[in-house]
Amino acid sequence: MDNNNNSNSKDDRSKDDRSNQNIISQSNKYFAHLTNYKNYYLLSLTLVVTLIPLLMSIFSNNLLIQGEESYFHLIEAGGYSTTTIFPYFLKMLNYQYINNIFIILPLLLAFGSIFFLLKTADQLKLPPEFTLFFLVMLIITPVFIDTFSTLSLYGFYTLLISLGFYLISNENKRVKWMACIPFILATFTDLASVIFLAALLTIYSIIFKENRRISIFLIALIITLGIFNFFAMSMNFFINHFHSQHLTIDLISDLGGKSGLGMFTLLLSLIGLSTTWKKKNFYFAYFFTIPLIIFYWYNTQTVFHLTILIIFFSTVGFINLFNRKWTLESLKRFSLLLIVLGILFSTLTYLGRSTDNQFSIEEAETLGWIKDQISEEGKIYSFPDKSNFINYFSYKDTFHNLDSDENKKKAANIILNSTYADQTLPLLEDNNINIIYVTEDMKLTLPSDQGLLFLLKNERFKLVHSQGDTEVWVFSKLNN
Amino acid sequence: MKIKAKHWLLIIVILTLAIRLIVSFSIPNLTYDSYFHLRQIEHIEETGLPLFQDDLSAGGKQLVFLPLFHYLMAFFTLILPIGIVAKIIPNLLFSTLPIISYFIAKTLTKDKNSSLFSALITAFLPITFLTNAVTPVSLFLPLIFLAIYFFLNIKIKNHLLFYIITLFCLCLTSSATFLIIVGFLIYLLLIALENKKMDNAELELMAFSLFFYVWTQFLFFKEVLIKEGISFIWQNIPSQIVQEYFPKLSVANSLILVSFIPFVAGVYVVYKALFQPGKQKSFLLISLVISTTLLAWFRLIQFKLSLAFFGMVLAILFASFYQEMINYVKKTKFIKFIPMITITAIIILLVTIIPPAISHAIEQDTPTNEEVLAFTTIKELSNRNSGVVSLIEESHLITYYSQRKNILDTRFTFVENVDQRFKDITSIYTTKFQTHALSLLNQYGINYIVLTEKAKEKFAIESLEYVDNECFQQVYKNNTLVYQVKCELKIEN
Repeated sequence: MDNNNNSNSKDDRSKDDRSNQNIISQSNKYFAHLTNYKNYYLLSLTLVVTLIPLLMSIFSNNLLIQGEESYFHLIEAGGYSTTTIFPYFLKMLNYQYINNIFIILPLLLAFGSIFFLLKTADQLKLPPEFTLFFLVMLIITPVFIDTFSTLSLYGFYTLLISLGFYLISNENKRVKWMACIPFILATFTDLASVIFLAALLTIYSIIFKENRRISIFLIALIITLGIFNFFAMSMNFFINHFHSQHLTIDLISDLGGKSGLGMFTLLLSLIGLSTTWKKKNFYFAYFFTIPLIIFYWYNTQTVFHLTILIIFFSTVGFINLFNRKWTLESLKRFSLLLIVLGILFSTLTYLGRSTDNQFSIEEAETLGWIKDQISEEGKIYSFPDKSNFINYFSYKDTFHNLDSDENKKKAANIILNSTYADQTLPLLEDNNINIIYVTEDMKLTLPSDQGLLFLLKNERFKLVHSQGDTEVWVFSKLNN
Repeated sequence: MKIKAKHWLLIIVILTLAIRLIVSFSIPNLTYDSYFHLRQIEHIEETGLPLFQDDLSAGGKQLVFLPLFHYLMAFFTLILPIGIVAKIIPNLLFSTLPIISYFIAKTLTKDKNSSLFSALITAFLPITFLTNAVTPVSLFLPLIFLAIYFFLNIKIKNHLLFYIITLFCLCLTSSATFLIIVGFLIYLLLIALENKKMDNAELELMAFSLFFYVWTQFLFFKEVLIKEGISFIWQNIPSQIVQEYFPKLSVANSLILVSFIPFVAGVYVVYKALFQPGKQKSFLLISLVISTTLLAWFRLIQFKLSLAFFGMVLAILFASFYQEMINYVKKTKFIKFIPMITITAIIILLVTIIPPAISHAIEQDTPTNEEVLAFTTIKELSNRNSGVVSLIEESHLITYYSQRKNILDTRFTFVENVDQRFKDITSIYTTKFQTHALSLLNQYGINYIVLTEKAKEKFAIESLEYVDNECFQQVYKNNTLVYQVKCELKIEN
């Protein structure tokens, strides 16, 4: 009797142990619920995460279309000289006269991308916990929020490739071949993205052998189109710069980056990388790593692609970490809590400062004033990371932007920092600069006792308009 | 009667504490940086909260620091006056180091006598013999070695809990806890390189420590990280003096501060452990040595702290060296000389470590009584909004004794134009032109200039060249001079 009781209690204890250890398995009823309803939860999360920046813009009295990149594409949509597909898409939407479509377009792109990714995962029968964690981490990553809160080429690209993979994974052969359309459209972005897509399809063809024929055809088609677009259509290798490059800051959002990912996600990816090291199934992921790091080195705008890889490793690291049996059981739950809090912390901090450096209505109105009131030909001088925004609202060219050549950057730097009028003024004349557009961040970051702000005291500059923290100064040329 | 090891340990601890307290009370004041911490402790004592928004430091700015040490000190000020607490508690904390190093060494060697050597070296390690410094390092060092001890004995009942508590305290004491985290990573690497099996519990604890550390630091330093990015590591230290905080390793200087014999013994133990099999126990400590060296080399950690940590680890590793030496002698015909060898080793150690330790303590950089009086006088002479300029290292005396604003002190984080401020302070002391000096003094709202002996020595001046009776009034005269600024520079159109 006693023996029986003992063995029963031992069984119960080991059962308890197991249930304590099985945090991310179907035996955990909460986790099982999450995976069963993951589609609803993930789509809701996408909506919430992409709505927050929009709502914050509304409450902060800022413009509802944010991001330097948005205005770059909107300007291109107004012209005919674009090499990417996105401005044509924007132009097409504009023709339909759907009011305010551009405001909710990023949200729709995000929703569509996640929807198709979920459907693809279902069709490919990927492990539900992998799909859940991968997509949760992706959705709450600052780079995702940044991409899908602006009119972003990579946002559109994500929708196209997720739709493409959804179609190619379909059982119906005709539907499969329809994947050609989004994949072909996705080649009109930049060459780095084309290479990324070709690599994704290569991996897809290796893992899902039943779709190998069509995958190989698509890879060949994509590479051919990519090369054609690059050489014949002058498509860029990388997308343009929309903010100043900083290798560390652009990768880790917690260090004040504009997008990037959280430190915890990065740490988890290192765990993922170390646990999968030399495992045959993961060779394809390593195959990705080096080119993506090189791309990132050259243009931090490609952090979007790198993030997808890092999140893949983070998901693997997270699942490996919490699927294994821990010797120190009590630490397991505590560590899980810490990681979840850490990841959320990065997201919340990022969202909290998402209104910093946003374009305000005030700024747009000032630029509108320039458009209406200053008819004289000439260029505007301001910070380069706002050049498209300035260009869009003022209908005037800026002297330089982040992709300007070195000579222009050098001249811009002299104008910004030189205290000597005889050095700065000829530069302004030679480069046909007649407007200095001073913004709040210029006043915050530039010294007032030297450099450009100090030189504005010179008699040849005249303050013609000021609204809130923005000022418009006109520079009168000597021959005038 | 044979004295037991624990009694020897007690003697070492009492001896070190006694010497520390004697030296401490024989030096009247505390190190310059201590006054920042004293101010925080007093603020906690009065309000229950640290002074995170300081209106006096660099004309007013946000301060970011981990407050556990200040809370601990503030707790003792409930029982004793702050002047006594400032001298006793840090020394008491430093005096726990020999106990901790004894137990770590005992875990490694299982030998009490060898471990006593570690305790002895730790007790008089010159670099930690700072008797008049009120600094979180005095709490950080015991805690970090306590954490190492609990980590090494994680399988003993309750040690996991103790480790977590210690780690929690560490993360709230100093960001230098990073040392142990990097040490863990190197430990993992060494184990992998040696193809040894990693203990699961250790692995889990390392992962937990990493995430816990990162999380707590994010909570406290969120704003600094966002504002300063990766440069938060260098704490916005002016480029002109960054060399003082992160100097290049000088082997000779380092040898004196960590003691020559433990250093040589440490190098031997590290060599043996790395290149001979069966020495996995020491791997963690060796990893910590490597991590400290690397972090100091790459200027990611302050030199003095890394040296203190390094010295402690070497002291612990000395136990392994001594044990090995005795085991070797036991195999030779010199076995009967073991007691003599032990006594000789003790004498050599005492001779080589105690004098540098005491001399290091006596040479601590503290203000003189007369300087303290000068700063106290400013408080009586000036009004609340006055600003005072002195050397950067003396600036905490302005905020503590004078209770007035300074231009720049050693808390550089969040200071705008830190390099310019540093340059301007130098200009105030070295310029020959009164207009230049006045423009700078007006710009920072400075009403008093303090010229100490240290400032005279630093700038190689006897007095301020531009000072005259019209614009400056000498309000304090002794070795230290205090001038009141009476003129204002106005630009007339």
